[in-house]
This record gives sequence, C-alpha cells and structure tokens, in this order.
Amino acid sequence: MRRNERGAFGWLPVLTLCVLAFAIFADLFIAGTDRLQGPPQRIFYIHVPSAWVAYFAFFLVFIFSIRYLAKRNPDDDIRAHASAEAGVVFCTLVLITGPIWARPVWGVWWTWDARLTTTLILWMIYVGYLMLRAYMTEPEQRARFAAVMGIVGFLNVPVVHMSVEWWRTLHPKPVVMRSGGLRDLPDSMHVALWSSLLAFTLLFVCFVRKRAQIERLNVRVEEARAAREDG
Amino acid sequence: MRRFFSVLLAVVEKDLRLEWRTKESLLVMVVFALLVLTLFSFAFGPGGGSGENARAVQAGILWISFLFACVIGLSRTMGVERESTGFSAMYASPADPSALYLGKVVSVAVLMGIMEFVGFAVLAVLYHADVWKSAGALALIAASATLGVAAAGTLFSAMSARTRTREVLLPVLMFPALVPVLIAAVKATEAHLGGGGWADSRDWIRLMLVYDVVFLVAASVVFEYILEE
Repeated sequence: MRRNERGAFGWLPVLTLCVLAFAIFADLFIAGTDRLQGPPQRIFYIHVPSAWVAYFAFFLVFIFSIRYLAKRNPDDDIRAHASAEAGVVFCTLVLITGPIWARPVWGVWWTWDARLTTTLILWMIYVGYLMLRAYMTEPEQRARFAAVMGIVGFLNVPVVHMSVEWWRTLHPKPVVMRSGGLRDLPDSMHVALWSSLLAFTLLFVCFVRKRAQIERLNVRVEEARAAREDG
Repeated sequence: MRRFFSVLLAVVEKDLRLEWRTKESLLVMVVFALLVLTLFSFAFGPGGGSGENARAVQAGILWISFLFACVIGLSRTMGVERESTGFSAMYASPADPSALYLGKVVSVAVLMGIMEFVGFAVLAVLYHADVWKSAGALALIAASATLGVAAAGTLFSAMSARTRTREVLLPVLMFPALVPVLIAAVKATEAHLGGGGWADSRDWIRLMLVYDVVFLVAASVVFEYILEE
C-alpha cells in the first residue's frame, strides 16, 4: 500500500475549494434573478448538480460492484462503499433542497412527481445498502453481499422510474413545471449551473478519495490488531 | 437442462415437505395477513372507508398485508437454511446456484399463493369486494406480482439472514426494491375490483412481468456470490 495517498492528487482539495468559491459567487451574483420564481430559483444551482452527482455516484457503485465480483480486488469494494456513502450525502441534499425550493414556488413542500419519487426510493435503496454493510462483520462476505446489492439496486432504478411515472400520469399534475429545458437558460445561468456542477463533482471526488483513504487505514488497523492478537 | 430442473424441483420438494411437516411459515403468514387486513379496517373505517376511493384503499390494504406477511414467510424459510447450515450445503453441492435460487423462489411463491388465495377470500367477505367476477384477471395479477415479490424477497432474505441483525434488515432491503410491484399490483387489482377491464390493467401486468424477468435473471446470475463462503 502506498505510504502517502495524498501525493498524486494533493492539489485536488485546493482546486475544489477554488471552483466551489467561484460557483457560489456565480450562483449568487453572476446568474440573473428568475423573473417568475425570484431568488428561490437559485436553489436550482445546488439542487440539480447534487442530483447529477448522486446518480453518477450510484452508477459508480454499480461499476465497482461488478468489478469487485469479477476481480475480487478489495479496493473496488472500498471504492463502491465510498461512492455509495458520498452518493447518499448528495441524494440527501437533493431531497432537502427540493422541498425548500418547492415550497415558495409550487406552494407545497413535496409533490409525488415521478423524478422526486424515484429519487426518494433511490435514497432508500442506498441507505439499505449502507445498513447491510453496517450489519455485517466478515469483510469478504460483506463485500460480496454489498456488491450484489449495488448491482441489483441500480438495475432496479429504470423500472422504479417507469412505474412511478405511470402511477403519476393517472393523476393531474399539481403544478405545471416550466418546460423548455436547458436551451432556454440565459448565458449567466449556464455559467452558474456548469460551475456548480463542476464544483460538486470535484467535491464528490474529494469525498470518495478521502473516505476510501480512511477505509484503507481502517483495514490496516484491523490487520495490525489481528496480527498482535495472533502473536 | 434436465439436471437444472431436477435440482430446482428437489429444492421445491424439500421446502414444501418441510413446510408440510412443520407448518411453521404458512400458518403464521396467513394469520398475519388476516390480522393486517382486519387492522386496516379499524384504521380506515369499516370496509376501507366509503365512496369511490374505497376500491383503491382495499387494493392497497390487500397488497400491503401480503407484503408484510411474506416478510415473515421469507425470514422463516431462510432462517431454516441458516440454522441447519443449508447455505454451506448448497455451496458445497455441485448444483447450479441459479437452480437453487429458482427453486427457492418457486417454493416461496407457492406459499404466498396459498396465503393470497385466503386473503382474497377474506377481502370478499370483510370488504364486500367482488372478487369472483374477475377471478381470472386477479389470479393473473396475483401470479405476476407474487413472482416478483418472491424473486426479490428470496435474494434479499438470503443476504439479510446472514447479517448480525438477522431478519430485521429484510424489509429495509426489500420494500424499496418492490415499489414497482406494489404500485402495479395495487393499480391492476383496483381496476378489476372496480369493475374495470383489461384495458386498465394490461400495462400494469406487463410492467410486473418486465420486473419479474429483470429480477429473476439478475438474481440468478448473482446468487452464486451469496452462497459463496
């Protein structure tokens, strides 16, 4: 194991902080105020990047889980674990910022909209993933079970989304969401959105690296303890 | 291929014989489902409330009670494997892990099917639901939902049975994954209880079949990693 993990990407946290500072500035000052929604619309710059990062994180869990089962490298298990944890953090952020944004704009804290509901269920699936890990002691078995959960959970996401979407189409949409997508955004909002997305992605990478580093140290501590008890 | 099915049938036979002799799971499942069906009547008012929403409430009550009851059944059947070192035996045997998995799924589904039969009958009596008029449709809905629940439940209970907290974790792992089945089963059941036709339930049944296929295939592939020791 490398002695100093910080070596290769030691500058990453610094870069993340700089981008994050710029993104916050862009979100608050560069981007214009939305004419219809007013200042609450700025939550968009936290909400949407968090959602993208969360989905990306769960995709990484899926990939690392497959890799673990194929190659049995414990490091893949550590990476899957770290991605899942960071993913749950960002997913939680989505679920917290969503209602804060919805309340002033839609007049309700929550609507059972397809994307919202899918995100909620996704959050539950990966909280389950983390709980499964927490309640298992044997590292090798834990890694295998978690990998199975990471694969099956991710495969389930499209089916969940489809079912929730059909479930909702039978009801009237409580609020009309403005459509038009990204093309309708003015340039200043693009700057804010993309810088936030970059900042959140870098932040995610920092979290995962740090978490994986801690976990590797944990493994070494366990090994040292076991060695001492044996000797 | 013949070997595959003989393994599958051997697991089913073993599980059902065990159940026949001990009657440990099925009885508890049925009684628990009845209990939940009754309790919901107290929670929502007699017969699941009145008005046009009653059918939707009844369909929801029915499937929630089935889901809860099957958690008990699943914990039992996997608990037995753990206590009798069945997992080690399965791993040690040269049998295809996916055949072992599918055998478990079938035996769980059979137990659930019996429980659901009783559940529908009780729904007809306690909630004045017109079950017999569309019995065929309801049987098809129940079959596709049961397969999905058994497929997901067997995989997750094989994992949760071997965690420190044992069965406690099963619903936490299983229920979020079963959301599509629950939605589809409730919607399709509601359509037929309310006198609606295939037009209202066809897509939901298809959704459940897609879920069944995805889960059965994925879980059959990964089940060997669960058995490994």
